[in-house]
Order: sequence, then C-alpha cells, then structure tokens
Amino acid sequence: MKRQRGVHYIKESTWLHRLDPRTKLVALVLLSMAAMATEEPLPLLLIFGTVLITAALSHMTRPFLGSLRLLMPVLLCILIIDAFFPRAAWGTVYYSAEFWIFHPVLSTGGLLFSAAMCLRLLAVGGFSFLFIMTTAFSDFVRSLRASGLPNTLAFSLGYALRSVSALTEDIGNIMDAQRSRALEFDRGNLVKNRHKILALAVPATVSVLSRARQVSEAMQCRGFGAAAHPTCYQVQGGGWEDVALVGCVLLGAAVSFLL
Amino acid sequence: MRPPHPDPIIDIHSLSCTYRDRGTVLKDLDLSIREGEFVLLTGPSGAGKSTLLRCINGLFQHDGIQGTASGEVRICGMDPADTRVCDLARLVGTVFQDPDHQLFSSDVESEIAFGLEQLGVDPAKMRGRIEEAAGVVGIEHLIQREVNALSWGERQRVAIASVIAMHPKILLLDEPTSGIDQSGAGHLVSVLKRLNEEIGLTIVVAEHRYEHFSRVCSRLVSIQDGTVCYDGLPVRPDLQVSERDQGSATGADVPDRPPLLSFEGIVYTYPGAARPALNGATLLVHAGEVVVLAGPNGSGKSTLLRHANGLLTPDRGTVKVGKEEIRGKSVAEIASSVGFLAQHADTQLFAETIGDEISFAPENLGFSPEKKEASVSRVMGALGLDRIGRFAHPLNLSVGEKQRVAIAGILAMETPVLVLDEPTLGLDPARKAGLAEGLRRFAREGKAVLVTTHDHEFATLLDGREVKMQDGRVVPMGGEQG
Amino acid sequence: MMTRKEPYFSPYEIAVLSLCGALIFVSKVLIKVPLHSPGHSSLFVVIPFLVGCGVVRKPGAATYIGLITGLLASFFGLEALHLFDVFKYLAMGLVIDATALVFNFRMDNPAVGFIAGAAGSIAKMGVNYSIHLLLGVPATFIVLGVGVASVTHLVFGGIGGVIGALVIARLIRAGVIAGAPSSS
Ligand SMILES: Nc1ncnc2c1ncn2[C@@H]1O[C@H](COP(=O)(O)OP(=O)(O)OP(=O)(O)O)[C@@H](O)[C@H]1O
Ligand SMILES: Nc1ncnc2c1ncn2[C@@H]1O[C@H](COP(=O)(O)OP(=O)(O)OP(=O)(O)O)[C@@H](O)[C@H]1O
Ligand SMILES: [Mg+2]
Ligand SMILES: [Mg+2]
Repeated sequence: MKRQRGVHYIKESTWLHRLDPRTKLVALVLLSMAAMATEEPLPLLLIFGTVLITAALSHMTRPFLGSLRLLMPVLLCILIIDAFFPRAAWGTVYYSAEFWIFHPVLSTGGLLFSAAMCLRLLAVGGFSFLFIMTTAFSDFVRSLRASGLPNTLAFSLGYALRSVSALTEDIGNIMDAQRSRALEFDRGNLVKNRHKILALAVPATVSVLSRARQVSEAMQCRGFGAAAHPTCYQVQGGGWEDVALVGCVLLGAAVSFLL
Repeated sequence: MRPPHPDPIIDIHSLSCTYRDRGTVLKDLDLSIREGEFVLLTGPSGAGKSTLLRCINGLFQHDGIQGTASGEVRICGMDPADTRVCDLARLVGTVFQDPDHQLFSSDVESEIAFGLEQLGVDPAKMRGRIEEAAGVVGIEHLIQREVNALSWGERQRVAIASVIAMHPKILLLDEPTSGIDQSGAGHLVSVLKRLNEEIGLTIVVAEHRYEHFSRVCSRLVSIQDGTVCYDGLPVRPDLQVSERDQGSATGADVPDRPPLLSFEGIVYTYPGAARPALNGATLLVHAGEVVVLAGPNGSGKSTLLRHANGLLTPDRGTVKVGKEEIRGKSVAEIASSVGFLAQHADTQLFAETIGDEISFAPENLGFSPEKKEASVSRVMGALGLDRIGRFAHPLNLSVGEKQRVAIAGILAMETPVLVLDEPTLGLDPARKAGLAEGLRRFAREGKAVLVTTHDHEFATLLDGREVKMQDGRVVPMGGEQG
Repeated sequence: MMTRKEPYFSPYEIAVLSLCGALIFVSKVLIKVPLHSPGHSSLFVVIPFLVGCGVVRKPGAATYIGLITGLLASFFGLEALHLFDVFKYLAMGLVIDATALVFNFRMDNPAVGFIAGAAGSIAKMGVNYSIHLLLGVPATFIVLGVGVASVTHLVFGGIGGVIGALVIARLIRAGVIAGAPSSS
C-alpha cells in the first residue's frame, strides 16, 4: 500500500491516544488561534514548546519529529521568502538588491519574522500531526456522534471510509477491463483522451450508483432510521486527562499573550 | 428439530408483482410459512425469487418507482406495505448476495453493533448481544478484525451475525453461496442449520445451486412462471448434467499440437502482500482445446488469468502467446491475440448502445468497418443478443444480459486465444449451455480457450480438460498428468 | 399511527453521497494524470461532486460530499498540512451547491457543468492559498501564484465539470438516473 507518505494513525495506547478526540480537537483549535494571534518569535517558540512537550509526554517524540519532515518544503520556502521579503524590515540590514519588481532585503527584523513564521507553521502543523497520529478515524466519528453529530453523517463518514478499498478495487478492475479491450490510457493529449476518460467515468459512476442502491436497501433492512434516537455503542467519557490537556494548552496560550 | 408452530409467520395470499417496464413477475402467488421452518426457494433465473424475498422484507412495496404489488402479505400479522422497512427489520433479517453491500463499518464489532444502535438498544446490553451473535455464527475470533481484511466467506458470516444480533424472527438469504467455494458453502449451511435447530429461527433461502441446501432444509418451494410449482419435502434435484457420461471428455487426450498460450513457472506476489498469490504456476493451453480451471476462493485463478494479456507482469516465469514471450508488450498490443474477460465484467460497460459497446474493442484494434460489422452481428447472434436489439442501452439490462454483452465484446475481437474469468455469472442454465456450446465450437475451429468457474455444471457442459488451482499452483484434476 | 418527520436525504441519497465522497478521495490517491500543473486533480475531483449533485438534486448535496471527502482527506491525506483539507473541500462543495441552485440542478448541461466545476475548483484554490497566507507565506507571492494557478484551476475544473455533465447526461438517457422532474 502507498501508506508511507503523509501522516497516519499510529496504533498505540499512550495517554494522548486515550484522550477524547473532542478534547484534542478543542486543544488544536485553541492552540492554532493562539499561534495565529501573534507574530512574535518568543510566544510562538513557547507554543511550539508546548506541542513538543505534549509529544514527549505521550512518547511520540520520534514519529512526531519524523512527521515534521513533511513540512520541510513549505518551511524552507517560508524561511527564505519571509527572510528576504518580511512585512517590515528593521534593524541591521545585511543585504539588499533589486530584481525587476522585487526588492529583497535581509535584516534582523526579517530574520526574526521568518523564524516566527516558521515556528507558527511548526506549532500548528505539528499539533495537527499529533492529532492525526493519535486519533483513529472511527473514534473521532464516534465521539462526534456522542456530542450530537447527526446519525446520518456519522454513518456516511464510517461508510465512506469502509468503501474506499472497494472503490479502489472497482476502478482498478474497470481500467483493467478496458485495457483488455485494447484501450490505452496513457497516449495522446487530453482532448483526444476525452472518450477514454468517459470510458472510465461512466462505468465508475454506474458501479457507484448500483452499489448505492444495494447499500441503501441493506441499510433499511438493518433498521437504519427505525429509532428516533439511535444509541451509540462504546463511547468513552472524558477524564482528568482531558481537562489537563486543555488546561495546559490554555496556560501556554495565556503565557504567550502575556509575553 | 422443534415441531413447527401452528400459526403461519409469513402468510401470502394471491400476491402479484409487476415491474414498471418488465411486466408481471409474480402472479397470484400463495405461500404460508410457519415459525421454525427452513425453506429453500428455487426456480429458474428470473423466476422472481429475489422479488418474493423483497416482498417479505418490504423493500418491494416501498420502492414505488420500480414496481407495484397487489395481494395480501402478512409478516407476524403485520402488512409490510404499511410498515417502514426499518421497522420491519426488527422481525425480518435479510442477508444479501454480496456481503460487501451490507457491511458499513470498518471493524467487525461496530458492524454487529450497527443494527442494535439503529434500533435504539441500550448500549449496556449491546456487548452481550454482540458476543452471543458472534458465538452462534462462530466468528468470535474475528471480532476485533478489520472488515476489509476478511475473505468473502468470512464477510458473509459477519453479515449473518450482524443480522442475528438484532434478534429477528425470520432470516432471509438471497443466493448466499454464489461466489463461495465448496468448503465455504458447507460451513455456511451448517451455521444456518444450527440457527434453525437451536434458536428456532425461521429461514428462507433463495438459491440456484441447491445441492448444498437440499440436505438440511425442511421444505422446498419452487417458483416458475410467477407461481409456486412445487411445495413439499425436499427432493434431490435430478441433475441431468451429472448423469452425462464423462468418458467422452476430450480432457484425456492432450493434443500434441504446440501450445497457443503457455504459463511457465509463474511466481507473482501482489505489492505489499505477505504471501505470493502465484507460486510456480505452469499451464499450457493448446490450440483446439478448452481448459477449465477450478479451485477454491483465493487460490490464484484470477491472478493467473491476468497474466495472460499482460495486466500483471510475473515476478518470475514466462508467459508466451504462440511462440512469443509477451513481456515488454503493452496490454493493448497483446489484446489483438488474447481476448480477456475479467471477473464481474458486467461492471465495465459504458457505451450508449449495445452495438457501440461490442464494437468498442474491434475499433480499438483497427478493424475495417465491414469486418467489424460482420463480427459484431455474428457474436450478437451467437449470444442471443439480437433479440434485445443493437440499440438498447447496455446499462439497463439485467445482470445476466450485461454479462452476455461483456462476453460479446470480447468475442468480437476474434482473437486466437480466449481467456474468460467466471463467465457464467447471472446466466441461467439454458444460456450457460449455449455459451458452453459456443466455446466448444471455438475450440474446434482451432482456438485456445481457458475458462475459470466455480460452477460444476458449467464445467461439465464445457467438456474440456479440467485442471485445478491450489495455493498458487496448477494441479491436475484427477490423478492424470495435465 | 404516529407521523414522523421524513429525513432530508433518503437512505439511497445518503449512500450515493457517501460513495461520491469516497470516490473523490480514491481518485485523488489513485489516478495520476501525466500533467504537472496546479489544479489538474480538479479534473477528477469535480466529476463525483457533479454526479452526486445531479443524482440527489437537493441543496446541500455537494456540501455534504465535500464534508465527507474533506474529513477523509484530513485523516488519510498524502500532502503536508492535510488536516486543513476539510476547509478546501467544504468550500468547493458550498460553491458547487450554490451554482447548482442557481441553475436549478441542470447538471447534465455541459455549460452548467463547466461553470460549477470551474467555480468549485477556484474556491478550493482560494481556501488553499488562504491557509498558506495564515501560515506565513507573504501575500505578494500568493498573488503571483494565484495568477497562474487560477487559470489552470479554471480550465481543469471546467473540463472536469463538462465531463461530469456528459456522464450525467448519458446516464439519464440510459435511464440509470432519473432526469429532471417534469413539473411537480
Ligand atoms: N428493478 C427491476 N426493474 C425491472 N425489472 C426487474 C427489476 N428487478 C428484477 N426485474 C425483472 O424481474 C424478473 C424477476 O427477477 P428476480 O430478481 O426476482 O429473479 P430471480 O428469481 O431472483 O432470478 P435470479 O435467480 O437470476 O436471481 C426478471 O425478469 C428481472 O429482469
Ligand atoms: N489486488 C490485490 N492485491 C493484493 N492481493 C490480492 C489482490 N487480488 C488478489 N489478491 C490475493 O491473491 C490471492 C489470489 O486471488 P485471486 O483473485 O487470484 O483468487 P481466485 O482464485 O480468483 O479466487 P475467486 O474464486 O474468489 O475468484 C488471494 O489471496 C487474494 O487475497
Ligand atoms: Mg435473485
Ligand atoms: Mg477470481
């Protein structure tokens, strides 16, 4: 499977894993808001520190640092561009030039600004990675459902995930079948390929619709919609750990404001 | 076996069902089933077995666009027409043909819990009911598994467990053994037998391949021309095909002509898979013979066939068409000499008319208009498609008809080698016999034909050389050398 | 007999929308077109959006698809910062819904398909760049990038929309999808 790229759920049971997904979501939103609210390097460093400590406390340091590599391209881009083209250049000027419409200036202010922006990206991106690495999709949907997400939407999310592999298989089979009928997918330009795309899109759509018909019948036969208020199996309640995480993040945010 | 309860739990009087553009399917049908019975529903393809089941669980009555029903249906005293399908689901559990269409969650435990959640069962009681259902069906060991990682047969059992957990009074199953191999089917039958005997569940099974069920059911109902034509004790169906003398099979004398299609020592592992799907498979298909490849689910039949035209490239081993190795050629190039019909080919259709659909491949191969025309009308005639007409929409057809269009699209390529993966899906016995006759004729004309099938009857009709696939290797069927 | 409120989407519509959402995610992961310009993936992303919209014909269908795809992409995406994909697809769905509403769900018309596809694709691009802006990429560069990318997004989204419309039109002719309700 092509599962190497991107960040994915890591099956473990650290305290961060056991937390209610909603708590983590709230913490993520709070932390992102705090990070967006400031452009100073120091508070941002503090926020990033909070994220790092959270990762360390949940024994996720290694995968966490690994995941940050994904941010490298964006990070480099921000580092260079913001260093040379900050919102305001101040302090010592090390370098300045003019190319066409650009006026790159390298200054202390610019360097600090670009460092702050990098830290912001690291903090927000890093915490979102932590969230994904420690939250299983099904737990996330279940907890949303427990706090009032409509049953329909919860069903859709679960079923969409379940059908990903089936659809992948369907599309692969359709492509194979068309190739066996001497259709070549990778020759010629888009305009010429119009019919080829249709030869893929029409059977794919038909198979989706017939799947939907049969699935909807099966759903009804399993009582979908029978009870006005469907119950929910396996919801975990919040504990002191949830409170602790939100408190910790709030504290970090507050301190960074005071600075 | 418990004695059946005196009052009928399913009571049907003069039921008639009509599909919008297909005419009447069921006519004045009467049927009553008592609690605790195990009923096997048979009849030719298109007789209306699935329609009858859909009347019992209420899907037909609530599908206003597709058809209308008249007559009286009572399920535990309720009329499905006045009850929502989801409310009736408390009494009637339905297991559909394709387990993939009725499993919605990613893990088995939440799947079994799904129905209970929808019925509003108290979460505290759920674990008990889940464990009980899993125990009855014998899938306790699968509870924590991901649904996607299960085999077809295991999924079928999860589907049954998730219906059983809802404590229905009636269990309906529509063709539960299609696509399952012999041992899987045997297991399924024993689970159903246990449910019927231990819990006293009323079971109605619609099935074509009734050799599995005729031993265990308590009653056989056969539908033909929209009405019940046999209702009584299960009798062993007289299978004409199995009585045919098999001595005349061409399988015994392997022709000494050069092979047209040869697989030599094919080893193939799917990317990311732990075990190789093919492990040194060797098979020669000679000009003028039909080779029938059988074998259990997951033994690698489809995988081998996908090597025939380069859809898969072997990790080791060679595939030759004629004398030439195909490695390095594109699928489209090989398609001019190997016609390949994929499993579940009915899903590949996309054109606006049957004619366009069938001439798609010949056009890709650059046939001249006259040649294309001749070949298209020939295959349409041979497969009985000219009765449906060249201008009908392929997407509107029934499963069996779609399958025939897909087969026609491959036959029209006029390739010397034909490779068909489970071509009989949805075909009734008459069509199967026709297809088998057509394939035998191709072989007599000097083509090489390779077919996989789970269907014994079809294999017998083909009358070819039978080989079996086992754990990624091809082994001869009997003791003889293949 | 107790009267119950009918749910907004029927079970069939829910299944269609969920599958369309999953299909977008699948095609994004699976299909690699040999084109390397920003926005080329819109070509395939737009088609299931339009199909879902054309089958269900209710306001909110595309937004629903967008939400599902977005959450799937957030959790199982392949790019950096994929947690923010929810917003991208949600915006796309909202815009396609709005277009569909304006044109009374004539999704089988290639012109409507083009407009819906292009608008949706541009909305997605817009959200994408706003996220970058929030995360510190300077505005001047974003404006430059937007200049180039908006053209490709428009073109590819539009083509995807046209293909989607062709698919829907063919399925309506074949009777697989119910066409526009005559008058009710
Ligand atoms: N949705 C539909 N619209 C129109 N006609 C239909 C529809 N479903 C089934 N039919 C037709 O009704 C007839 C009976 O179909 P049904 O599925 O009940 O047969 P069956 O006995 O289950 O056959 P099989 O053994 O092939 O499953 C067939 O001729 C079929 O073409
Ligand atoms: N795309 C795939 N990726 C990974 N593994 C696969 C893939 N397709 C098949 N396999 C595995 O390869 C093995 C052989 O599968 P194959 O489809 O060839 O079986 P089969 O004999 O055709 O079975 P059936 O009778 O059910 O059609 C199985 O274990 C299956 O799980
Ligand atoms: Mg049937
Ligand atoms: Mg197979």
